[in-house]
Amino acid sequence: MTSEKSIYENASAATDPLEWFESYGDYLYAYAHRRVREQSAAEDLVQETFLAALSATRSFGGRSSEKTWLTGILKHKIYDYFGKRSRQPGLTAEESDMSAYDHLFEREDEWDGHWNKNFAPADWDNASQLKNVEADEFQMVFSSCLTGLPERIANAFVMREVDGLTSAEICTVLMISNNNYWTMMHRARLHLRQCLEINWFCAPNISQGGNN
Amino acid sequence: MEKPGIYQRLKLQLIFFLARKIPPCNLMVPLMSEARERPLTLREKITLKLHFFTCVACRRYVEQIEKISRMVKPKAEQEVPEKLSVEARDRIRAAIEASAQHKN
Repeated sequence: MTSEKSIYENASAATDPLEWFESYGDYLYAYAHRRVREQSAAEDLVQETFLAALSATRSFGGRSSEKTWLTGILKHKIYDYFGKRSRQPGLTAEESDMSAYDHLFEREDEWDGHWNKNFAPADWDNASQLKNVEADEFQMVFSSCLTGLPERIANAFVMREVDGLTSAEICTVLMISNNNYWTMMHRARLHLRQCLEINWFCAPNISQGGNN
Repeated sequence: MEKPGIYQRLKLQLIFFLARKIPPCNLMVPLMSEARERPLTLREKITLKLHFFTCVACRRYVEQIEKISRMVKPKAEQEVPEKLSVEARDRIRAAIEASAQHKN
């Protein structure tokens, strides 16, 4: 162990991959897990990131912090992973099937096609005043709402809204057209709004965070 | 106990009239998402504006998808709530060490 350490100290000063791993392993894991939502995939991505960093040690010229550099490598690994998981160009039948959302706009009266009163967006203001936003708790609810979507649609939403990729970048990664992409984003927003309203914004035991 | 004024009643009439003329919510909601992805045509913009005038639920919908968009953005330097498991930690350390030896 110490001998390996000294090899690294000789190779290039203060860039010991095991030290990086101690410092940033958990951070990178949390970063990956938030995006791919799957423990073993996130672990694999972290490992790949450090191995890639190891073979590119010399390309790290201290231009950015080690953390930023490693996060940049991880980011690319995540999008590669999304791309590999996306085997089919265009939308699958499951992805384009919006029938699970029809009931939101079904009405018995002459206003069929407008929001059904039972599912129309509720007023969030009264509810959300109660809570002092617990970021971690929100993350958990958001993650579980994402898993209610087909995987690629959830991945598209993560790239768009969490990471701020452009539509062109997302279409390339997932091999889809602009129209496919718009359909995915519409479905993701419709689904997530509904899910977050029920499980977060208007959830019955909203003050479980502990502040009265 | 005031009766609604003349303007109030006219506005209501106008809303009902418009609501029957323009496309219903289920056709407008996809456009509300697309508005965040591409520039809308003038016609789409006008239809949306008219629809919002008549529909409080859709006004909320747009506000709420914006709010969600803001809330899912990563906050700078967030505390790390999740940690690697002991097994994953050992496995990755071993892989780094193996790879480091191989390299040298």
